[in-house]
Amino acid sequence: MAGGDVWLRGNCNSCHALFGLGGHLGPDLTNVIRLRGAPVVVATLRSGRVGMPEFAFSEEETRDLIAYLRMVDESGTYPAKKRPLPLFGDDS
Amino acid sequence: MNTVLEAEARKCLFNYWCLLLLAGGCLLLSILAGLLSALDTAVPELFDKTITLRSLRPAHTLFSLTWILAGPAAVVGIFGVRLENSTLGLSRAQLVLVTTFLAGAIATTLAGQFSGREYITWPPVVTMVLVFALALTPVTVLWNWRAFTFRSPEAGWLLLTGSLLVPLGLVEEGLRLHHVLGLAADPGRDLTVQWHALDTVIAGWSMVLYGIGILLTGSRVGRLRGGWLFALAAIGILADFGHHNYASPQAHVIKIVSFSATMLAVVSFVRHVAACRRARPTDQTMGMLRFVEFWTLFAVGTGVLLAIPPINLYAHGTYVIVAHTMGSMIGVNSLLLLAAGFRLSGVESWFRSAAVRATSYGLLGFCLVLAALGIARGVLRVDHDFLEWKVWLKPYLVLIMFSAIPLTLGLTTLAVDFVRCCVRSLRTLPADDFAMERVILSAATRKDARESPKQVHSAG
Repeated sequence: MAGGDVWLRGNCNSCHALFGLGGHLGPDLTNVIRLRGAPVVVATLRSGRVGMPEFAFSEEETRDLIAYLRMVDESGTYPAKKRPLPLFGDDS
Repeated sequence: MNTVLEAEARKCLFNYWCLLLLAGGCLLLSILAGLLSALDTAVPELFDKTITLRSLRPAHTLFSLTWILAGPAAVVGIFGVRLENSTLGLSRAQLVLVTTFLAGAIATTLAGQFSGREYITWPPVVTMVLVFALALTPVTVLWNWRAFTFRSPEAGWLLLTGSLLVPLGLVEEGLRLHHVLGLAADPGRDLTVQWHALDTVIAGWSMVLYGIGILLTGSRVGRLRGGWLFALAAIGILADFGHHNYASPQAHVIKIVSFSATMLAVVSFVRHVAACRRARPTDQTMGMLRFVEFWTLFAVGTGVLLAIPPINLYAHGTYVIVAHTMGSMIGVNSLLLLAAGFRLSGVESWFRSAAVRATSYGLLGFCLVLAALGIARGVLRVDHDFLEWKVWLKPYLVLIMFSAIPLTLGLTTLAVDFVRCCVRSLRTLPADDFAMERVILSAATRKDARESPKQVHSAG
C-alpha cells in the first residue's frame, strides 16, 4: 500500500498514532476518515493547523495517504466506545 | 607476561573505550534534542521552521538508541578483554561499523530520510551496518563464554540471548518496513509485526543490560541458577509484545496468551522487591544500582498494570505509556549503563551521588505528572472528541516541561561525568577489575577439583 510509505516518509507518527501506537501530540488517526471525512483531512494536509506543518504532498501522494487511512479506518475502531470495555478489546 | 598479547589487549581496550565515548556523546546529543523538542512544543514561536518536532524527534530517537545499543556492546567488550584471549579484530570492526552507522544515519536524517519512523527504522543499507555491528556482540560473548559464565551463569545467558535478539529484531522490522513480508494491505498484522520487532529489540537490550548489572555486582550477591527462570523469561519474551496490541484488530487467542505470559512478570517483580530490601550499597556504583532496583520495580509494576486489558484500553496511547517508557529507558537502562562506565573507569566524583538522586527523583516527578495527565486523557477520550479534551488538557501540558527540569539537570550532569570518565580512560585504559578475582577463583576451583576425589576416598 503506497499510502503506508507516504505515512512513513512524512514521519506522521511523530505526532499521530494508529490504534494508539505512535506519537501523542496530535489526535489518533485510526478513524479520522469516518469522524472528519476525507475532504477535511486533505485540507488539513495542504494548509496545516496549529502545531501541524503544511505538507507539500503531491496529488498522488495525498490520494494514496487517504486510501491508506480509509483502509485503517475500515479495519477497526479506536479507542473503544463501549462501557464496560470488553476484556480483550473491541475487534469491531 | 607476553608483551605482544598485552599490547593487543591494550589496543582492544582503546577501541572499546572509544566506542563507549561515542555512546556517551550520543547521550548528550539526545538530551539536547529532547530539550529543544520540549521548548519547541511549549513555545512554538521560539524557533523558525527549520527546527521542528518533525526533525527533532528522529534526532532524539537516533542518539538515544545509539547510546543504548552501542554502550552495552562496548561494556561487554571491556568485560571480555583478557590478556590470553584478545578480541582486537572484533573490537576494531565494531568501532568502525558503529561509527559508519552513526554517520550514515545522521546523513540520511539530514537528507529527510527520517529515522524516527518508529524508533528503529532507517534506510536498509544503514540498518544493515548497525545489524552487522551488533551481531559482533554475541560473537564477543561466545569468544569469552567460559569467562562470563564462570562469574555468573545467568549473566552469560542474558548477555548471549539478549545480544542475539537485538539484531534479529532489527532485521524483522527492516523486512516489514520494506514490504518483504507483504503485510502492507493488512494494518492489524502490520502493527503486530512492527511492535513484535520493536519489543524484540527492547527485550534484547534489557537482557544485555541486566547481564551487565549482574556482572557489576560481582561476587557480592549469590548466583541465581534456577533453570525455570530462563524458561519463564523465554515465554515472556516470545509473547510480551501482545500487550501493545489489545487495541488493534487481531485474534483473541494472541491477546489471551500475551496476557498470561505478561502476568508471569509478577514473579520477577516479587523477586526484585526481595532483592531491593536486601541491597545495602557500599560505594557509588552500588548506590546507583539501588536506584536501578527501584526503577525496575516501577517499570515491571507499571508494565504489569498496563498489561491488564481493561486498564490497557484506557491507558494505551496516552502519556501513561510515556511514563512507563521513560522509567525503563532512563531509570533502568541508562542508569545501568552509566553505572557500568563509572565502575569500569574507576573514576569517582564528589557530585555523582547528588546527580543520581536528582535524576531519579526528577524522573519520579516527571513520570507522576505524565501518568496523571495520561489517565485524564484516557478517560476523557472515551466520550469526548479530540478537539474537546485537547482544549481542556492543554493548560496542564506545560507541567510536563517544568517537571522535566530536575531530570534534565541531573541526567546532563551524569552524561558529562560519563564522557569525562571515558576520556580519562582512553589514557589509562582500565580493564575489568574482576579479572584478578577470576584468576584466583579459577585456581581455587582447579585445586578443589584435584582435592575432592581424595576427600571422598578418605571419607569412604
